[in-house]
Amino acid sequence: MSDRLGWLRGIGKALIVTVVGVVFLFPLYWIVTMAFKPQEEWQPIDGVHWVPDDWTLENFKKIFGRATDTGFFEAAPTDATNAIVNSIVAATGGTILAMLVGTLTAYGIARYKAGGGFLPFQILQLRMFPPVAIVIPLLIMYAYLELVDTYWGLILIYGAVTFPFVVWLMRSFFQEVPREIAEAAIVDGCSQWGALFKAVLPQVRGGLAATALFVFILNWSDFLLALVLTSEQVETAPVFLNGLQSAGAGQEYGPQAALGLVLIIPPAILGLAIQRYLVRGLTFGAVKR
Amino acid sequence: MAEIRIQSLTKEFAGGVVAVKDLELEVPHGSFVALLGPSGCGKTTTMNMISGLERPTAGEIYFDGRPITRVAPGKRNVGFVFQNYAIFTHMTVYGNLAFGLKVRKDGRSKAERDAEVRRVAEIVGLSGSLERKAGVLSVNDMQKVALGRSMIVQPAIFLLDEPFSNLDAAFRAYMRTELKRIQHEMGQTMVYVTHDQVEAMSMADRIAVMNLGELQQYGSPDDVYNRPRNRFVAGFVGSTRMNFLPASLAPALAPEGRADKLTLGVRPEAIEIVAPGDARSTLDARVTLVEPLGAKDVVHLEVGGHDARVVGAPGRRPHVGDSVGLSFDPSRVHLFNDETDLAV
Amino acid sequence: MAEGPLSTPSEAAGRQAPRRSLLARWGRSEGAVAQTLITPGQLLLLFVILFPAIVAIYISFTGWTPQSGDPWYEAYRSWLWFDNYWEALSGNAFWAAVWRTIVVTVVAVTAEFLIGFGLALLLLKQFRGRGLLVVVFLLPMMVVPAVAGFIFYMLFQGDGPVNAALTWLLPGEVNIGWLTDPDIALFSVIIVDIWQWTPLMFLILLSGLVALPEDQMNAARILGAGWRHQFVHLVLPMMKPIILIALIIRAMETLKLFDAAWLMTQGGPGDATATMSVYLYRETFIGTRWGYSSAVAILVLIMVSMLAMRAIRPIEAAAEERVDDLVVAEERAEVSLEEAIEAEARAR
Repeated sequence: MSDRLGWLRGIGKALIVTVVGVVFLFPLYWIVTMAFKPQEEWQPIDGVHWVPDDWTLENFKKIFGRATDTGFFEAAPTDATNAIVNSIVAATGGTILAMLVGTLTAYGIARYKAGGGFLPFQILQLRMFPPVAIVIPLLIMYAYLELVDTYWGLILIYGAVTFPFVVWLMRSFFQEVPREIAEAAIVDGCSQWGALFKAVLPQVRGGLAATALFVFILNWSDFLLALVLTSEQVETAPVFLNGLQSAGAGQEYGPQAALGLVLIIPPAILGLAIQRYLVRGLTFGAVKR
Repeated sequence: MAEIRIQSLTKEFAGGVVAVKDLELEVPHGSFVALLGPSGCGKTTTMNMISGLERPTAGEIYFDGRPITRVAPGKRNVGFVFQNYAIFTHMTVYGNLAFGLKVRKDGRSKAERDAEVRRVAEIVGLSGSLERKAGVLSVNDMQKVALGRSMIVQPAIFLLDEPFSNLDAAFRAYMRTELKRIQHEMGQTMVYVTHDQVEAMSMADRIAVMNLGELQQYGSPDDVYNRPRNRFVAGFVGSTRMNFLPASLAPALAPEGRADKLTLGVRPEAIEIVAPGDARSTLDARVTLVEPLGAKDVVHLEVGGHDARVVGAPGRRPHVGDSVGLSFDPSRVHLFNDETDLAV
Repeated sequence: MAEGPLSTPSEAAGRQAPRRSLLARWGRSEGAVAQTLITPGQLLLLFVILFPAIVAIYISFTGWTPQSGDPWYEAYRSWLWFDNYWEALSGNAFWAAVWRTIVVTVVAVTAEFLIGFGLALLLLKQFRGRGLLVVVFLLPMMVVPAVAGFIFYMLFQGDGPVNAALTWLLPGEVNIGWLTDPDIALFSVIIVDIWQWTPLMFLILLSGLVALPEDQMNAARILGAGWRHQFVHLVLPMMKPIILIALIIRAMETLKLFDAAWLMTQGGPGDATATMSVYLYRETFIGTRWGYSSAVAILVLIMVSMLAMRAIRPIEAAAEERVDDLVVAEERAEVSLEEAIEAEARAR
């Protein structure tokens, strides 16, 4: 076998990997630099500014309501603090709801085959429905129940929409726990509930954490539901971002980028932490790392 | 059929672990050689280098005089049977057997290949299972598939890495005889890795005993058993372990004046138990345990502070606590000098 | 029954107050507990699926709009029977949206799969810096989709970096109207989806490849199988369940595509990027004929259900392969006992 060929393949490999890396990273690079660019550099007439000439924190200040230069009359208010807080509250609440209901359901399916063996499929089916298909009746229901533009309204729908994921993932994790653990606990005198809480749950701690983080990321990233179901009180950050987009005649790239950056950093960190667990759960444990 | 010559073979892994050190070995044409040694002695690594799965750090390997150290495993024409068979579980038995043929474009027609597969299946005893999926076979059948799959390409050299260690005892014995028979019929050169010295002794023409990456002794089973080169080989080979006693206990058996720097080695079958004062007795001992094993008795003794074992025919079975004498056959006594040589 | 001072647990329990034992019995009955476990989930589903579905069906038969001033339950005043459905099914707009969705899904998922697989193969063997590269390759999927849409909105501007970079690379001025040219806009949406989700494919496939049994690969190598043979006969068949799952997951999610597309083009220019979800949204909140869009929504739900039924089977099959392995292990233990006896007899 010739080493020469191996050397060439190595170079080719490195080349492809570099190109892909650049393509993957460039958009991120762009939003990062845009967030630090002053207004003149957002859409400069003299062509693209690959690197900001002037680094500034002004955009971040704007989105947190501490703009120092008010400048001209701005096309839209850019204080996003409320929106960010709303995102945190809604995402957390939705996650808690989904985890509670979903974990119980997943256990019911995994251990007792509750729901007659069809339930898991029904739940998978759920994930395939585009949420936009139910927005009309949802809006009607919410208007009726006075849930529009409220925290609870969002939490409820977020929980419901991510609940299938929790069931899907947690069922996988529960299935990896041998029956004997619960049975041993029952022999020791626990009720079925005791077996669940004292014996089985501690075994899936890692899976619980990973699922919770995953669901949090999903809820945090939601756009459509919040768009439809909130207006001013509980507007979440992605909706706010969209608002900046359509409101201004000139595009407020800077603050938008700053907000976007703030939006994407938490999930990025969380996501990297849990990716190992995710693959196990998502592929039904067909792959064990 | 090929002769293997290994020269100065060394394999060092990252982190300074030397798995094989300076190995020199010659496997004659058509012979059955066992690589024997405890876990971690380097035998599997050596096999991997012969097959081409690993590249040596230094040294050369020759097949029939041709250096193949840098040749890809697929082009070396060797057969390899893994310890856990590594058969293709998602294919049928037929698919497994046919794989080697499919991969080589040697102009055979589909019908010829089919005939070959069936022939090999017949030899290993799988003719009835050809359509079954390999993943659902019993362990014994999987082993047959592994063998057949390697055989079908008629390799010049056959490498087997503890192939029978996962089988149940009865089947293992059966496979050992089968393998020997096949090897005699087809005359292939076989290198067989095992940690079971009974296996090595019963199957091999020559045994290479290894420890910690170094070759300890290479010779016929008789050589290795009766003329061990060093203490390790002496202690490793032999179903009931050889007895090692400081030579100072029986200075008469050692050459002049060196008794306190030597260790005496004598096999349990080479000692006879006699009455304590008997003229033939070289040493006194006390019986600590008697194991009646049916065809033989193993008597455990305490001699001058050391443990020893004697294997003898059932009959005059001593009792625990008896004082007895041990009679040694001087021609079957080995002497070891801190693990290097022996002087008989 | 055992006599003596120690009583059995059930006897002891029976001596407790009756109220306690009812609760305790419920806590110990598998059936009761199982039902309780899934009840909250079922309630949630009821709330989110069943009621809206009923309401939506009701309204889809009417010509109701929120602007009519009537409350929704009086929508029957503008009863239209199947007119809305007919309009959707016979008109162009609906089917065009369906078609666009299919195009996006097929192209995007295929590209994501091919690129993801290629990357996974490249990064399979350990080498220096591999860990870092894996992280880099995973980053795009961590980005909130709405923000990804915004980023590409910036990038795809006529005077933006993409055109600038292409101008630098290729001879002549490049001024592609990524978001403004109706023939290209859908493609831009596809690009964003590919950028964002190839990492997921990469992750799943890489995990699958890493878990492949190395011994089998070695065995194949020794038998003379070159790289291509190994791939076709070993890697692909063994990866089948994972590949299937990855494709189905991504396809499912891509069908629902909304966030990035909306932020970039709001379905425009014109209708060019109106995929199913975008189309539905526009009909609902820009046109206000809720009767009509309810009908479209119901049609979408029906189509998705049919797809789901076809997709469920391969997923469950993949999940069952694992169960199969367990069954096989048991089978094996039984058979080898038989064989041992057989072999013993033969060895005599």
